[in-house]
Amino acid sequence: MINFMLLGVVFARTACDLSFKAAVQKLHFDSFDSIIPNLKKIFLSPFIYSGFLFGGINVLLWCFALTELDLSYAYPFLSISYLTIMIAAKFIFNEHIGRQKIIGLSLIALGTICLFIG
Amino acid sequence: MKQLSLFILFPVFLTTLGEFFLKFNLNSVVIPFSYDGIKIIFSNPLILVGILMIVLGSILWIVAMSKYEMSFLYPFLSINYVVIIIGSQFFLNEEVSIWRYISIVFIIIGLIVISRSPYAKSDH
Repeated sequence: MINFMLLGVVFARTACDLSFKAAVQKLHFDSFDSIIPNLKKIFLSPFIYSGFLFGGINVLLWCFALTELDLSYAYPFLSISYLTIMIAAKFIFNEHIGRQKIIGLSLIALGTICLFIG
Repeated sequence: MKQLSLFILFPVFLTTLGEFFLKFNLNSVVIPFSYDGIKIIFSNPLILVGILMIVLGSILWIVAMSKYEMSFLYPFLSINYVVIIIGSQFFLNEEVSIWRYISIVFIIIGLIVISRSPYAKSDH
């Protein structure tokens, strides 16, 4: 049950990051004058609100997870969200994942596996 | 150096301090996984302070992301992991096994490798 909470944190964090990315995607912060109209566009996007929603779920599930888990276990586990975010970004935003990123993400995944061992 | 401290080191410090504070205060209460648990979390001022520190740290980190390139910032994220794993052993009295240290070594190397990738600039 508690590990589902932790996985939930990873999922919520991923969804939150992707939502905010979707909200700011079509903006152009060219100059100082463009801040206010861009801010208006941000808050018109539904994704900014889904971002806040997932952010709230993230905080809540993190609190639940920390009631039983060690911080030194739970916090490194969150690094797996780099993996989920980059994979999801590849499919949703067609972002390119280069070879070095794949190596880096594999190392992070390896680190997460080490958490289960010890 | 001053700019670095303000934009990068301060959010790292705030986030890690917030995590320790949050964990410390969550250790001292019993929280069921229910609506009552949610009420307990949001009625405890110390827990809320911890959450606030973490949220502020995240916001300041996003500000840093708008100012610096990801390829520059990612290695600084490693400081988070080091501080948390050492701090949870000393401040929170957790049993940190060698495998947890090994895991953050892999994570830090992975972050540095990612930061050196040629497409890191176009992220986020």
